[in-house]
Amino acid sequence: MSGILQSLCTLFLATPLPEEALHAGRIHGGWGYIIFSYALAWLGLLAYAAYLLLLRSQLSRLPPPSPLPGGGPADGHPTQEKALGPSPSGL
Amino acid sequence: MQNNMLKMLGWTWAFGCILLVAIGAWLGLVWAPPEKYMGEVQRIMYVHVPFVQVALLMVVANFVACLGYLFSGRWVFDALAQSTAEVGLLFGSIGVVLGAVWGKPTWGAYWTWDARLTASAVLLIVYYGYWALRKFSEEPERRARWSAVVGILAAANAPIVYFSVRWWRSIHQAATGKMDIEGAMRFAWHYNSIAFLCTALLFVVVRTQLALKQQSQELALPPPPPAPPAAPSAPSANPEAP
Repeated sequence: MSGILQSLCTLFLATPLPEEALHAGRIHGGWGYIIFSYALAWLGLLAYAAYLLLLRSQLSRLPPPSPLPGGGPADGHPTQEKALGPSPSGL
Repeated sequence: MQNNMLKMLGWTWAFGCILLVAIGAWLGLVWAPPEKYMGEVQRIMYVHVPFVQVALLMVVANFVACLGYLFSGRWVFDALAQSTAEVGLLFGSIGVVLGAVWGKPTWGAYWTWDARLTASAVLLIVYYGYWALRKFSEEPERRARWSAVVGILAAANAPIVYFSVRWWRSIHQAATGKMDIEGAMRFAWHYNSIAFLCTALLFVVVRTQLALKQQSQELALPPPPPAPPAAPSAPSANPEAP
């Protein structure tokens, strides 16, 4: 709003709007929004990190896949039979 | 030995990210000066903009990974596509909410159907669809192929999001140029972008490793069935037979 006012003043009166008038349009406060935003960002990242740790502990409890003989999925589209190779983690 | 080294490297990276993000929060909340018109509320930009930037980068990475899977068929690309989509969704969803929170005190509304906002919402919805597709398809090969196709189609929306402020009259401001922003503000913004990018990369690396583990479990042969009970001995020849 103050930007528009300043433009209009400059355009029609050829004088810039006084600094005090500009500050009248300034938004004051808003720390509630700011704290909420930073907290949301941090909590979101922490929650995802916790999810990754949980997933990792779940996967580490599973027995390792049975050792598979033969070559890997040469064409990269292993069907169940063609998956008889190094597990994808070996790629 | 090598495993221990990698583990230590991972934890160092994680603690480094915590430190980077903490310093970034201090820069955004305390160090950077308030903006002339928006006042203190502008500090939300130091998290909103980096989150959206990281989300768009993840869309690009997901697009490359999907192409990589379709062309090479390597499972590592499928795992990378999964992790970039997930991390992109995390950053994109939070980024959009942060934008809405900033919009209330500055625009007077949490949401308007402005071109940039609408395009971002569509992009998010499409990626939630991609994520759901991955969750609900059971057969690994089909899931990888279908989600790669959906990922490539979904990425077409990213340029629309990016250029929407130039293509349409929008309440959302255009991209900030180098000369439009004061030095301290620019530093805080760039610093936070790097801090969140490092964190996102760590998430992608860890999630890709976990996805590869999940794949190897899915693709492994089922455990051998229990041995059948010993067959009864063959009936002896009838002694009464002639």
